[in-house]
Amino acid sequence: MIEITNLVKAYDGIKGVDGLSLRVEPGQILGLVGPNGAGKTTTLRCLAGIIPATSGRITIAGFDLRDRPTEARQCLAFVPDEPYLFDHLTVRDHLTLFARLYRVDDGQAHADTLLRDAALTDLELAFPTELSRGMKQKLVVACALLHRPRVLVLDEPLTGLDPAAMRQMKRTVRQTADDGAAIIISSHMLHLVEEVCDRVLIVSRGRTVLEGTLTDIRAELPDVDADADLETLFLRATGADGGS
Amino acid sequence: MSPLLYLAWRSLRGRVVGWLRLMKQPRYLVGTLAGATWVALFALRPMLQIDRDAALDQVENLSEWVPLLEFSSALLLLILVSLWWLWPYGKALVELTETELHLLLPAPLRRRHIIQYAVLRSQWSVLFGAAIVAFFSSGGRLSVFAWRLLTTWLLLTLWNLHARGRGLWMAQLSELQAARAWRRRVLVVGAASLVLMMVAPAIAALVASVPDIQGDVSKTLQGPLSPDWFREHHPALSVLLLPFRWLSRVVLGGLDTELTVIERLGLLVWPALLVVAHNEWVVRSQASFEDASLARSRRLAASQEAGARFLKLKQSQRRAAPFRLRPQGRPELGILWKNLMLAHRTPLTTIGASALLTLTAATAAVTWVSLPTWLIGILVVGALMVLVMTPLTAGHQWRNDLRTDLLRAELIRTWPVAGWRLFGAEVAGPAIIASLYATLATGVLLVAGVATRHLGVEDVVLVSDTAAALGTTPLGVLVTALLTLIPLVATVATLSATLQNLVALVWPSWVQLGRRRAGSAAHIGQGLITSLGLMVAMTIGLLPGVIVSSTWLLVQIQVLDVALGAWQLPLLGLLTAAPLAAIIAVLIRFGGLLWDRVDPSAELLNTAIPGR
Repeated sequence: MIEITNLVKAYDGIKGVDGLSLRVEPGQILGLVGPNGAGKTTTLRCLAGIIPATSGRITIAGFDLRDRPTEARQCLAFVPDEPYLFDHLTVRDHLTLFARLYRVDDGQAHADTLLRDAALTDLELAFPTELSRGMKQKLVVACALLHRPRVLVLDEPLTGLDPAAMRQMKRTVRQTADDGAAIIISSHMLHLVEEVCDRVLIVSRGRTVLEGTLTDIRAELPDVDADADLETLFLRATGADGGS
Repeated sequence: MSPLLYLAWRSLRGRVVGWLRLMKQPRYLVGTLAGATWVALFALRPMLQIDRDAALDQVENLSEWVPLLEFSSALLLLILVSLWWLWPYGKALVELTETELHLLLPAPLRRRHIIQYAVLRSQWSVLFGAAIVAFFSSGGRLSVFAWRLLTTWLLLTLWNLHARGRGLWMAQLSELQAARAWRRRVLVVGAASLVLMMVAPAIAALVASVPDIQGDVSKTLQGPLSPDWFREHHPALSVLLLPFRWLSRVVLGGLDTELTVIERLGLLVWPALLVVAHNEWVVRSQASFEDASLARSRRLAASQEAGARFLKLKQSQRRAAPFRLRPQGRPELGILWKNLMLAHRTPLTTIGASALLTLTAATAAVTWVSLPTWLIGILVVGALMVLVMTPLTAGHQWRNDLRTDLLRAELIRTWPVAGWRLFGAEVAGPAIIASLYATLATGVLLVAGVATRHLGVEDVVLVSDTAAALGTTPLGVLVTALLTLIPLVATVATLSATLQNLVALVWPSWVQLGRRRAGSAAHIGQGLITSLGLMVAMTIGLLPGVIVSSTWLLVQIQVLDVALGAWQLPLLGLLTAAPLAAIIAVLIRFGGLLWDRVDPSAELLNTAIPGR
């Protein structure tokens, strides 16, 4: 379970995230959407413990990120918007390292499964510089899923993936949620969010604009069609549709 | 040109604003003040206290050599440039970043303006180099500093432009028809060879005059190395030497105390015109620099990536690792495993076994074959240098620690490892490698010791009197001394690595992150200040251990009147290392605390500050 309460992240006194709160239950997928500079990545980085929050409380699987960071991180996996990998480690080395970092007892066997799912088995001795961006992204996701996280945070997970890999990624995310993980996906690909996520949180200027299922959001916004898609709802909610 | 001037100006302004923003953070302000104070106290003070009269005397003594130096420098420059042109190939390097290339080349800008922009950009390193030369050669005198700065800048700029011009000209040859390009190449090589052939008799005359030197050396040498002699015997060469003499005269002008200010400024006119002419030659070049520049910027980017050198590894080598990493156990060992692989993938057991076998074989060999004394000397000096320098510079030499990992802060910050454990694991990488090298050096010392024993010249390495005093054999002294050194060396190496990693955590914007060490002028300057600071910190760190061991020795020998035994040496080593180890432990805890609290937003993740 993920719980963020009144999160504030300020840079030189300017608030990038301003009092954001959210809650994601096990098995649920929350889509985090917002215009550029809305504070999505900052929120996810605070949640993953990469940057410290200025104030507010973050709880991951019941562990307070500030008081018990190691336990909280043990339950969490973060997939950043850029596939950060170690250039001197092979694909297999990455999985070996992550198995040790997260103490995955069946690391070898689970790594084999993940490599097979990501179609990386033949590339297990390749270095990241020998992989395409999509392959790197798949490897990052494989590393993230290796320890069967209870909380999964994905920042723009489909960037650089081909259509088949996108489909595979969506299946993987859904399967991980079905296995009981709480998931947050931040993406500008609104069709992905609409297709995969159970609930949506629209943020703008570091604050929550709307939150709920698509039906909830449609109900919150006046003068929208009953079958309005997320793109329409997003543009209306953030005022990016010019008020039309 | 205006958009490029604007870009250059905004880039400079951006750097200054960025630096000022850093100064708003107390740790950077304190670091800057500490660095500046250090430079003022330890570098400037001796210069400011220099005996000006003595310095003036020195300059006057040198002034009689000025004509000779001036002419020989000009000759040397001519030879160097001719030799350079003998190789008729070159690359059209116009140093632009990949971003600049992609943004500027498609823009409606004249190519000469783009080249001019690249030339202007290179002025940062030229100016920095000139300032360093001027700083260390001015003896603390402002007027001399200004003159040296100006003249060194002129010389370096000219060299820089000549290198570019040559590269562009040579590259242009590859765009011509093969026969035409070949003719031009032959012409250039012929001209350079001709110049060298003209210089050869002058050099021969100089060499011939050397045995006759008696009395006043400068006057004797001024015969064959004077403008008059050249004008008379080699008129063509004398003309060729003229621009080089302008340069050497302007650089050595500071030594001529009889020159007035106007005369000195007059010296600058011709070199300045040479710079202008060279600049025109470079910016008007029609050579296609785009591909070479793009290739260079990509090569540079690739060299910063640690993995570039691993791509050549065979499949079997890619499976190798320093040690086998199982999923169970402390996660920090995984971090060490990863960092050791950045240095080398060879298993530690293989390294250890190979070193042991080699040293054993070498020891056996030197007991059978006598090594010459000079070779033993080289082995001893080399091993001692490695033994002393490797641990001290461990933090500088290897960067398989936070300095590489901070580039992936977004990845490693999520790892479920306590801050101090992660920091300790990061420090262990360079410390272990430095300790391995130092241990190998001790092995070489042992081999050298055995070799001297076989030769019967034990006093070279083994001191017989000391051995007798310690109640052991000379070889026993060596073995115990080496056992004493190993823990010391390991702790010093760890301290060095710990301090470097702390610096990286406290001032990440000032530390060159990644594999490459060479950086911008700012990085070099900051590296210099950091190194000086580290030396002080290392001295302070070693002090408690030295005090404890000295006190022990004093009490045992002076107070209790008990002779020192060889067996005590390793214990003393441990005793000296123990306080240092305690300091390291505290520093690692502190590093962990910093790691937990550091906000990498601005300095590592380049998070844009919301502009509202």
